[in-house]
Amino acid sequence: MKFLAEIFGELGGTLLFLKTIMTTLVNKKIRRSDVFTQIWSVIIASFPTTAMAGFFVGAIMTVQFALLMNEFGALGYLGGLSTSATVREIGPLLIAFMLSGKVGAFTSAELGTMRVTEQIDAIRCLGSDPLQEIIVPRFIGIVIASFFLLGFGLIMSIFGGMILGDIFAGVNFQEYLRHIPTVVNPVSILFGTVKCGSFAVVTATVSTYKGFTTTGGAKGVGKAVVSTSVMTMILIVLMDWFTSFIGDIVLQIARGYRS
Amino acid sequence: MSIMSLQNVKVCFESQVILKSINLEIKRGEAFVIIGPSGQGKTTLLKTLSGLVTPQNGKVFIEQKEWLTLSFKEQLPVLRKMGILFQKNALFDSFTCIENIAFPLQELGTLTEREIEKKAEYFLDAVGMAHARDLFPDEISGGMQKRLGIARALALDPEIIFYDDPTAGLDPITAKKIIDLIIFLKNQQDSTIVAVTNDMNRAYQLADRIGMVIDGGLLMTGTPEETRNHPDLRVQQFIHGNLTGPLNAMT
Ligand SMILES: Nc1ncnc2c1ncn2[C@@H]1O[C@H](COP(=O)(O)OP(=O)(O)OP(=O)(O)O)[C@@H](O)[C@H]1O
Ligand SMILES: [Mg+2]
Repeated sequence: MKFLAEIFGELGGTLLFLKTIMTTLVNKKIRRSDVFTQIWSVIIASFPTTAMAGFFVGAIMTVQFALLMNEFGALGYLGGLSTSATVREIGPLLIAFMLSGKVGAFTSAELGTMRVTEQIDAIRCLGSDPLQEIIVPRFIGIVIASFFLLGFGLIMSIFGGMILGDIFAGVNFQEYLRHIPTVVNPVSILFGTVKCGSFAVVTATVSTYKGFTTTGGAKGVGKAVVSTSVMTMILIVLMDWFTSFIGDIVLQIARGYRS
Repeated sequence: MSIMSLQNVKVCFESQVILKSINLEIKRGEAFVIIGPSGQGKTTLLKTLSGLVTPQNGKVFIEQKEWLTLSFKEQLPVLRKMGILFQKNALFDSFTCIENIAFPLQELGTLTEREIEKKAEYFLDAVGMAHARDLFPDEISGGMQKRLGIARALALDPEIIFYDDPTAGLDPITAKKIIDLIIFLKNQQDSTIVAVTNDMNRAYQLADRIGMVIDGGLLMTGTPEETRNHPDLRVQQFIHGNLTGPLNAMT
């Protein structure tokens, strides 16, 4: 019982924090240079991992699909299908896990340290709003950078798929690319982008919230980082299910209109 | 006229009562020094006065405004008139020394880059740290961090300045210099000072009034003269640093 109460308490706290971030974002002036610095540092931190992961995901998806499609003699659609799966599902999920592991952990540790060394109190005492100064720029930074990373990861995955498609299934580059536009439609791109954005919001909110509310010295910072990772992982998976569910409903309605 | 006052203030952390029913008025232009044994609530009292700690009970008035009822936006102009030196300095560790001082000035949004730099350099120089301009806080010594903390607290020309243990970790000569600087700045700008220190000589030198915190309460407040001659044995034991006396019976 107590355990459940704790979980809902955490969720409520996170949601309230998101609301505070939003009101600050709307009502206060956020310095552009701060935001750019954050976007930049998130991208720099995740660039190599995204490149690697994107490349291998593309490669793995291609190998998997090639095994299946060879049986049906549909190898021509190899590029289209594996890219579509990456755009809609694997890409956003991968970027989200990477962000939460690298940037989320970093953010909560950084903010947690600032909290326990009273730097956040100091900001307040110097007549500035800590939310406006340090929280909102980090939040926007993570969300915007995630879209860049998604795009970049996607390009790398196509690249990986092309190479493996050629080596493994004998599908040359042109053929691999030819059917991507037919299978990957704007709807799947929209799906992928929405998913990626919502996962990034989860990571950004949880990590800033956990960092901002850290108590109890170095141990407290450690705890904040651990609970950030656990909470983001769980929420991302739930969010994935939720967005797929909503997306499905939206698609059904749209189809209903068309016919 | 009082610039800050506490009425029946009670502060708890978790279930532990730290301050119980404090009543205190700080007058404008006064230097109030808080003394008392370690861990009895001096820092907590200072933070309550500056509005950083929210009491469970009682009222906090800062500049005649009931602090806890104000929104952050309403608190802002008052906060900008305050400077605070934290006991553990709370320097921004990702900023260099000069950037630490420049930060509050940039936030004002009324000064040009050149003016900010000049002002920050002035304060850095005032605490004798001009040579450490571009070093980071963890690259300078403990005493230098303290001085940098003071410079940052002074950057906004505050009317109310809180110093939590400004001379801790400093050698006697630097400690004296820092106290002289604090007194000089106070006289120059007619500011109000609340300071925590356990160095009785410095306390007498700085204070208009001294308050002693013991066991979550204000045991006494009075001028340095009154403190010296206070009849309570605990006060006498504390200011003379005697190893035996009624204070040992506590904690
Ligand atoms: N954030 C906090 N959470 C829980 N307890 C705290 C917190 N801050 C202070 N305390 C407790 O409050 C009491 C008073 O602490 P405070 O820092 O005010 O003492 P102090 O008089 O400033 O001591 P010192 O001279 O050593 O700095 C201590 O018992 C401490 O354990
Ligand atoms: Mg203290």
